[in-house]
Amino acid sequence: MMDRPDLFVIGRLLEGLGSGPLRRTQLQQRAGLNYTVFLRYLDYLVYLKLVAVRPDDEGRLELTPRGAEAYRFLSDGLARIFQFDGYPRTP
Amino acid sequence: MESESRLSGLLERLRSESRRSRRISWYAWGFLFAAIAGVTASEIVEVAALARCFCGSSTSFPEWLAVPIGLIPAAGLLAFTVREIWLGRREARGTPASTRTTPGEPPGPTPHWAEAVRESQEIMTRLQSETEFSFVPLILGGLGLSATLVGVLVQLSGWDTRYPVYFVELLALPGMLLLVPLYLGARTWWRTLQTQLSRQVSELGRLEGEFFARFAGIDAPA
Repeated sequence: MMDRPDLFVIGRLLEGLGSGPLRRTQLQQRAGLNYTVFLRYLDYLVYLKLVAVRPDDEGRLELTPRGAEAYRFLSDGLARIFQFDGYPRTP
Repeated sequence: MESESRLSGLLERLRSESRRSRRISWYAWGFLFAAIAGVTASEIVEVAALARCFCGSSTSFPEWLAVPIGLIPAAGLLAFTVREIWLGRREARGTPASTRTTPGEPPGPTPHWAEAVRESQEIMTRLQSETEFSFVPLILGGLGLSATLVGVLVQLSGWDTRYPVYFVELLALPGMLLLVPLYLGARTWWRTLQTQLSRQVSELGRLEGEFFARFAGIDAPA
């Protein structure tokens, strides 16, 4: 299992699949990862049941309902944290 | 992810604040030492002038000129400190106008989430301890600076022949009070900014923990 997964990489992979099923290379390119790292994270996401492989569709990858929920959780949380746009206002 | 660049932005901002805090610290301590050196130099000039009087020498360097010259470095460093605080305050209000950041600067490599949060937490801890140490020399240096300036003004006006020295030096206190609004304002702003940044950093750490707890079934990544 992975030492310390990067939540951003997980977020990028989940986001990449948000628009629909993709082939591995398409998702890898969209996430901007090298293939070794990509495969490591993909295995991890499949293990967590956030991403599923569709055997009937040339092995395309898709988000599971749990994966979609995880992506929403992450993007909502980040939007809440960064509502100050990185420049907190002084009173 | 859009927020990915925002975390990079937050980290860059924290690094920038860290550099600013360090500059303020250097300027503030420099100001204190320059004020001490300036006051010492003016005292030396005074003693030298007295010695020349006893020796009957006709050439002397006027103290009213020596003191301002001696205090120029201190005044300059104080101006730099105020400028840094003012620039920081302006940026905190949403105007990224620092001359030290290039607008078209390419973004750095995307940080690892946990590493970014850890670095941010370290920066915040350092910032909080630096803040207190930066403002003490400002007040002490300001006291020395205003005491010397008041002393010169009093000598020029001839008051020193009528009133005791300790009374003359007490007049320096109102001069120091001019620095109190600067101190309070800067300290309040600095702490507010740090509190807000600190909250963002701790929420990022908490979000990571909650995500892994909920979707990976672990309390925190190893």
